[in-house]
Amino acid sequence: MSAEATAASAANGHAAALAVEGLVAGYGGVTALDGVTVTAHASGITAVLGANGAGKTTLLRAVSGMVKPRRGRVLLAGHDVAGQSPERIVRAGIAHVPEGQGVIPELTVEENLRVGMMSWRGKQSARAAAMEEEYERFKPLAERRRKLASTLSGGERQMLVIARALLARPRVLLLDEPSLGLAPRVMAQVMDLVVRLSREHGLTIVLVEQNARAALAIADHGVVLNLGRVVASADAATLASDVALRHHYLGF
Amino acid sequence: MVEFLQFTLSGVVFGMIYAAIALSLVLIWRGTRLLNFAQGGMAMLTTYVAIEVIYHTHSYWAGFVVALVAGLVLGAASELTVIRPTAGRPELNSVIVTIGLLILIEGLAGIFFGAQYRSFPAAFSVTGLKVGGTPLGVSRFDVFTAAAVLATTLILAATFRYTSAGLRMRAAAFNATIARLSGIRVARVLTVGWALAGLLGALAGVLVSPSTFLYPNSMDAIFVLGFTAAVIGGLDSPTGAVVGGLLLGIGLNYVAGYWNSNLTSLVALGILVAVLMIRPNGLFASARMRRV
Amino acid sequence: MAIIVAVIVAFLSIKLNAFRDYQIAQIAVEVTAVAGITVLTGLSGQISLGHAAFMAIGAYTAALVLLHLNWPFYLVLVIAAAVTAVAGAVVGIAAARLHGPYLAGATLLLGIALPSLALAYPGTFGGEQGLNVIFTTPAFLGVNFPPTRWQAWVSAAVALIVLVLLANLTQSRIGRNWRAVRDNDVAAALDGINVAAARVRAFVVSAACAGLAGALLAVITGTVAPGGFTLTLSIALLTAAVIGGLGSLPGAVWGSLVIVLVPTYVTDVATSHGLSSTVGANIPIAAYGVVLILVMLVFPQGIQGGLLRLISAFLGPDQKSRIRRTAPTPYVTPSADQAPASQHEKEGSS
Repeated sequence: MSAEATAASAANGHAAALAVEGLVAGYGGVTALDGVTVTAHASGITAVLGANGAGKTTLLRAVSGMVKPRRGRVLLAGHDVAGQSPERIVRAGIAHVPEGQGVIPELTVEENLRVGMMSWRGKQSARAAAMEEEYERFKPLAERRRKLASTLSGGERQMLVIARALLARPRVLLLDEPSLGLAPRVMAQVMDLVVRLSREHGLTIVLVEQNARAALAIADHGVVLNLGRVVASADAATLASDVALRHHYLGF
Repeated sequence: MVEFLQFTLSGVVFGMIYAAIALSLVLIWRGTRLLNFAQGGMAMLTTYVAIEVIYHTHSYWAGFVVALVAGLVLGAASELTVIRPTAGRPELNSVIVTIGLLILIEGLAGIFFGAQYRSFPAAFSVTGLKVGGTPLGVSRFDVFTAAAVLATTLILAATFRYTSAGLRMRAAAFNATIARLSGIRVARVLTVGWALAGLLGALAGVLVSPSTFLYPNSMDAIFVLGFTAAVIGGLDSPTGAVVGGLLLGIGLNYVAGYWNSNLTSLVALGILVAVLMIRPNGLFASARMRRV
Repeated sequence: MAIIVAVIVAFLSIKLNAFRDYQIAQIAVEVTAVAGITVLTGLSGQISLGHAAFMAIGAYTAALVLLHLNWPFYLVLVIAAAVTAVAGAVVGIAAARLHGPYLAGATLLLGIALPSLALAYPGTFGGEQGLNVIFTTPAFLGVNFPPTRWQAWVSAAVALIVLVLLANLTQSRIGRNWRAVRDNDVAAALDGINVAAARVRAFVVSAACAGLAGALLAVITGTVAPGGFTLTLSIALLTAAVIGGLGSLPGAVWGSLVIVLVPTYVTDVATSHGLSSTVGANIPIAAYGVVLILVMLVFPQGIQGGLLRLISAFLGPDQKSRIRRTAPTPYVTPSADQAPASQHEKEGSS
């Protein structure tokens, strides 16, 4: 698809904000992604599912630049960003919240947020306002702004991590297992937040989740990976009702 | 009693020199997890540059400033050319590479500046200060030395704490992955870290050379003691570097004064081994271990 | 193999003059010491930046025994090796839990600190001037046998014996344990290997080698003084091991040849071109620095690896695999296709 065509269909709101085409990537001798094609529609939530080792995390890493793809393209609104450094890809508009690690515990809450603004391209004066906006959205963070991030609970850390990613003003947000290690009630809050980010703020979200049921409940579209290949790609409702698929690849 | 005071005060001065080297090592360690064995050599080279400038311009301060700038440049250049390619390789490689850098610098110094001992001027008078007739064991230059290192340390600490640049460096040191994903150009931050370390080394070089004379190996022993101070304090801890430096400087001065000045390095070795046995991560190691 | 080399050395030594004898002896001394480093660093993965200290221990022991007890030479060698081995055990025990930069720094400090002991107790150790070593050739050789040639033969013999012994050690279970500990000490421990004992053993062996070399050096140069065991020497030993190919005993020979022959050659060339001898003396040092950097970055396997690659280029596939098994195991795997940037990353599991 040419850049113009993509831009034109973007105006329709159905276009791909992020399109991964034929991506091949791995570590050393191991190939973790073997020709993966995924399309994330603008302002939608795309769930990436599959068992451990299927390649989900590698997919996100290849998109955000932590891993250099061997082949394939990563199209952000038509521009191929595959192989660029993470610093540049963040500035292009893709924010990645990695699995398990998110906050820098040795820094305060406020400092963690400021780190998120390191790629700020807007006006300097608007930075303070942007931070206040996040504090508004996440009240517990406001209460603890000068405290070390290590003192935050699991749910608060997840909030901090998402707030920081949002401060990068991304167009696409990659979330790797945001509910990992969280109590069910907190997990529900996080999922709620993800939905609001997509509906109210128009963010395109790619969500990797081990908990496929929860993910499909909020996603618009789902992709199932197995051993580095896409084995299913359909809207969330279809996937959720395909019992055989669920049993085989998703474990429920 | 007077003797004790003298040993303590002059120990503080030495300690600040060790602290400067220790700080430069900690800076590099936090950013790149490498120990820069060439730090002493780099300090020696910048001091040679200073002495040439002083010789040609007849101005001490011109030489002083040029040395510091040369330290910045040398540090950055080393990181870009020699250290960057060792990223991701086993530890042994970077140890050997920095050793290689050390002897390369010492060889070049021997070639271009000769091997003879050269004297280096002091910024201020080196006659001992007296308070009410009692000699203190330190001179005006010594006070300047301690003050200069202290000032530089405080400025650096403030920069790290309160500026965006400092935040970038801390974030990159604590978690390079998150830093990169937040748009911080970690590679550039590393280069700046090495440059600042070079500056600290250069400062130590010009401050200590009046007492040790300048020759290609003159900074070897100082470097090793600075390393010891850094390890004692904890390679991750800038505070530890300063405290370690002071403790070592004062302690070794007592050894030299009350026992035998030729035994200082052996005592330092003993202290180093003792600290590494009991608290391998140093006195000021944080309770929370960094994930590596 | 060793016998052939021994004959060649004897032949050369008779043909060439006294200075060459001296060089042969020097090379043999270096080989003995460097072989120890090859074992310590290349095989068991522990770095020592202060090995000159062990040489000093051997040298001073030899000098003191000869001075005060005047025992026969072979006994002196054994004692020197034994004393240094004990020192190696002490250092090894202290170092067993250290790794990487910490070990390097500690051994660096050791290398600088130990010689100062001689200055601290000048009564026993002769202070800055050091001690003199008197050495006489055995009577059975006759009066006309040049002492330098005897020294060359003895040194070469010791070096060859050491190489053979180390080669056997390398192939044995002990050697295998060293390699296992070097590559992954956690896995080695799980395999039932006593990691600390293996590490200490490596230090003992390499210290004994250095002690022997030091004793020989004392005899060859006639004096032992603190100034003869500098940081430069320690680093030269490491350089020789790296140039030759870390972990390869033949590499120890190549490396020693380089660090003994090259400086003399370079200094000669430099002075003949009008450069001062200081410059000439420092060019090799700067060159070693460049070599260390280049080898680590570009040719991790050193000379021995390069040679093996050259040889295997001419051989068939069976021969090639045999060569590959004897090649110095480089400390870096050249095909390293490393996973993402930071050490903090966990390998992607989903």
